[in-house]
Amino acid sequence: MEMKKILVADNHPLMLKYMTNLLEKRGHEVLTAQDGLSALDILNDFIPDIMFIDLIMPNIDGKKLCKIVRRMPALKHSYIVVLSAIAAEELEETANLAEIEADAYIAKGPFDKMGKHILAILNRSDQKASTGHPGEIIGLEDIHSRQITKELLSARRHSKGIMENIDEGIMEIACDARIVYVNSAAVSLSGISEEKLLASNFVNIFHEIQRQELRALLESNKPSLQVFTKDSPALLNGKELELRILPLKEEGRKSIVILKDVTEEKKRDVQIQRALKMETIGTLAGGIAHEFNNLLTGIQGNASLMLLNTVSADPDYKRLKNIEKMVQDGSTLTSQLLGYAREGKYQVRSINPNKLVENTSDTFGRTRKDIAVHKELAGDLFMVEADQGQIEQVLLNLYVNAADAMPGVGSLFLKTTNVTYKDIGTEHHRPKPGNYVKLVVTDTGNGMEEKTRKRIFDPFFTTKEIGQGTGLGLASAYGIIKAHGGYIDVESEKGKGSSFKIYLPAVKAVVRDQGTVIREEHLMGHKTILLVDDEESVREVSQELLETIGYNILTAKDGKEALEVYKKYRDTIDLVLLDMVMPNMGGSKVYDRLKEMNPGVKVLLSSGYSINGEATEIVARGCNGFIQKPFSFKDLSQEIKKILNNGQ
Amino acid sequence: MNIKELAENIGLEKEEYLELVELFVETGKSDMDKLQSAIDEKNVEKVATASHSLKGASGNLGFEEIFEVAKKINDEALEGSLKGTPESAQVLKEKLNAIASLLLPDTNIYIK
Repeated sequence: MEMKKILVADNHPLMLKYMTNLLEKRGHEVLTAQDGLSALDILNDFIPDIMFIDLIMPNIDGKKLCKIVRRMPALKHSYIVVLSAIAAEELEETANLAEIEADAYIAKGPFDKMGKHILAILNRSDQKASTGHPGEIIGLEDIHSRQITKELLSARRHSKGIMENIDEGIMEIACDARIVYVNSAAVSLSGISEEKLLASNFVNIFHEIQRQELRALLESNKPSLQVFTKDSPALLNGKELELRILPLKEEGRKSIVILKDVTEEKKRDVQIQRALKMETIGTLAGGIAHEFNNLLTGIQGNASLMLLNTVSADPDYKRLKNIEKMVQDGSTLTSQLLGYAREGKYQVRSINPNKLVENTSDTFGRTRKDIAVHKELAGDLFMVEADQGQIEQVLLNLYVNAADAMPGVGSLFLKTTNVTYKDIGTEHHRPKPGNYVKLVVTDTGNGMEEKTRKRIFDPFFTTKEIGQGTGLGLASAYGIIKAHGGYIDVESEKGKGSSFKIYLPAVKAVVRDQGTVIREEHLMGHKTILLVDDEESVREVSQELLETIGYNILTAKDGKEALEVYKKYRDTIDLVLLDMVMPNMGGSKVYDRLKEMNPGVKVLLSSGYSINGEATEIVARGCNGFIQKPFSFKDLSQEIKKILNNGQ
Repeated sequence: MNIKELAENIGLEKEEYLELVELFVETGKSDMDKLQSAIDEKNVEKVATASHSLKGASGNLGFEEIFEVAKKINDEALEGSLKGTPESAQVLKEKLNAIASLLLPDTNIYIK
């Protein structure tokens, strides 16, 4: 028999010694290893003709060692013999020889019997053509009586079952940082197969920039280290992982590493932070808009009053008109702020979103002839409950932005479809179940970078030159869509255009009347109005305005005074113009008290905030109307007239 | 029974046999240490590992009695029990010492 190169891997020195003696005596070259990892080290530059591998070994057991070896091209022709006391039992039990991938199996037992089988195998391995088919079990009849019960095996499988089914990845690593055990979660987290993970360096599976830190961490060998946390996770296979390293005291500086996938959790955290930020800014924006609207009301009223006494030939007439115009612009700005803060005027009815798209795209198309508009509107589109003006504002905003992104020439694609909540991206939202209408506005423009995309809905964020944009357009779009119970998203890539997607909750169609159209001339009245507002400027200018058109005016600077005045003059007062937000006693409470005194009282609410929330509630309780500050002369007189004429 | 016979039973030369027995007693001693501390700590897994090693080696060399005792400890440990283990460990120790004094009278690798 020619000399063979042989590797024996077994954790018992006695077995190694015996095998060495037996085989060297017959002129073979024998190398030995006490565990799987050292066996692999030897195999780096030693190609054995035959390998004897023990099944139970520390640092990569025999079964896994076989699996790894079978995938090493250099060892294609090596003959693998599994050598184990457990072999026969487990093999009998599981009858799954293919899983171990050896060419033959020798049951451990007394040396004389084993020796014979080993020498027999040596002869046989000459004719070997390793095919990967399961080998035979030799020496079964010689094994000492051992009635390993099924329970024993199942007890072992129980703990194995736990390891294989937990969500956390578990890896055992030797003192030189090489991996000797992985569970299936670790395999799927890393995206690397078990055979490749085993015996490879733990540190090297991670992203380059983190290797230094990991190496230092392993070397420090401190107990229960959790250095890669949710806030500074380890990067592996495109995932963000929390790492916990537990050094094992007893087993020669080995460590257990627990890997937890925190990618989703982090996404959720970002969602929450984003929502909180938007809320905070919204509250702030709403507050500012409210104050501002009071000021604008004063300016508007004063200008209107002066205009009443000014003939159009007067040189000041044009200036006063300009002031009115600028107040209108200012009011548009605050209404955008309120839109973002979800505080804007909000008149909801069921509408077909296709109609909104048609209206707005027609308007837009007339002003921007350089942009080709393509529409793809679903025929059977769901209805939505929405404030037509606000949604149109959102759409126009998107069109204008799109046009700005494609100077000179470009195409705008508008698409509507019915979707369900499952179709809404979950990156930023957790959509409520139900049907939605999806409106998509796509341009062929410059697109934007990731950095810009992330901040695109932030108030006052703008990429336009100073003076070109307020940074409020998309922020108010965001607020408006949110206030409608919907969602807005953007997809974009630098150089590839942008696509804004709006999702509005669908409703069953109930189309209401659009309301009565009122003549536009000033409506003169001769009734008495109680004017309640804590802002002196608003009070003064409203009083003068209303007196100019013939009303008698009583005023009150707060809720308490309002009730006193009403008590005194309840028979003369035809209408109360009531501010919503006042110190001490707010409009809501005043309204209830007035109603107690006189169930037939007529009240027109006014506010720099919106009809949302509290105001809506009061209107629902029977209040006659609502007017948003800053109100124009015309709006106010129309609204008052409408209420006074009702029920007469 | 003389050493030569024992060696032949297992298909080995006397010298090689003694060499292996010495290795067996040495590793057996360290396994016994591990077994003892595992019993003190009530660590079933460590008991199983140490007894597995003793079981295998004694089986290889044909030390039937040691094999049976080690197997008993191992089987119990695999079932999660350490009930009879301290007594069995005592028996194991005595048997190992007996082999050491019989086969390796010139050395003093005894287990305390």
